[in-house]
Amino acid sequence: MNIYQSEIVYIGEQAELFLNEGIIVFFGDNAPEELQEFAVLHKLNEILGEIVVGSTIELSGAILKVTAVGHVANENFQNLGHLVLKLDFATEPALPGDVSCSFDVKPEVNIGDSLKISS
Amino acid sequence: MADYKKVKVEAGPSGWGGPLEIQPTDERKYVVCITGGGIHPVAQKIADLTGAEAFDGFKSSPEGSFGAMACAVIDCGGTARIGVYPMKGVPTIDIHDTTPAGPLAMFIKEENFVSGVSEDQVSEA
Repeated sequence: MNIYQSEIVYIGEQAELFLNEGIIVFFGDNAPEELQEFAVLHKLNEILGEIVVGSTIELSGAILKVTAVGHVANENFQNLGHLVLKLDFATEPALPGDVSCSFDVKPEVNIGDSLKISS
Repeated sequence: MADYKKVKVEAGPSGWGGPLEIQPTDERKYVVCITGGGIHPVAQKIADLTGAEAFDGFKSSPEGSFGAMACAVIDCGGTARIGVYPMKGVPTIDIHDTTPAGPLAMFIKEENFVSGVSEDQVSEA
């Protein structure tokens, strides 16, 4: 089932701080200016379901498999379009907001790239 | 000139950091709530006790940005917002039980951050 489909519309100047550590901090494009500086923004569309272990995230052409989901991650996504994606293969979420993933090829995120989440 | 009262915000039973004393001023007069879904009860209580204005920081940014915030109330899961507001000099209150983490962890101190906060941890100072 398709949970979410969107595209990357903005990458904040400080987003690199997180990207360098394998963390992609997403917010919807309605996020307050203060947070945009640190985030990768997606055009906010309707969210059709919950992200669970085993969900697939297609980002910038790379295929990521969800390996762990923190207990506030879906709430953050639903409320704020906010998703903290960690490319760390973790099977236990380190932090409550984390969505951890495994990957073959690390995504290189650019404006205009697509983001697709399915269960 | 408004007369704002001071409040004390302590960490919850499983929280970290603080206690913080929040003293709004004419310059820093907004209790900014960045949780989605409107004003969180913790932000509302701080606003009610101090006399400052609760501001839905997810709908818009207050005029003056970080410099106009008496404090920020967040529901951060531990990585991003937890660091952004402390880094910008805004006392930060997380309703979730988080501890310093993420690339901005170095900015998160007991003096500017408190977590695990519910209405019970907010009192007059």
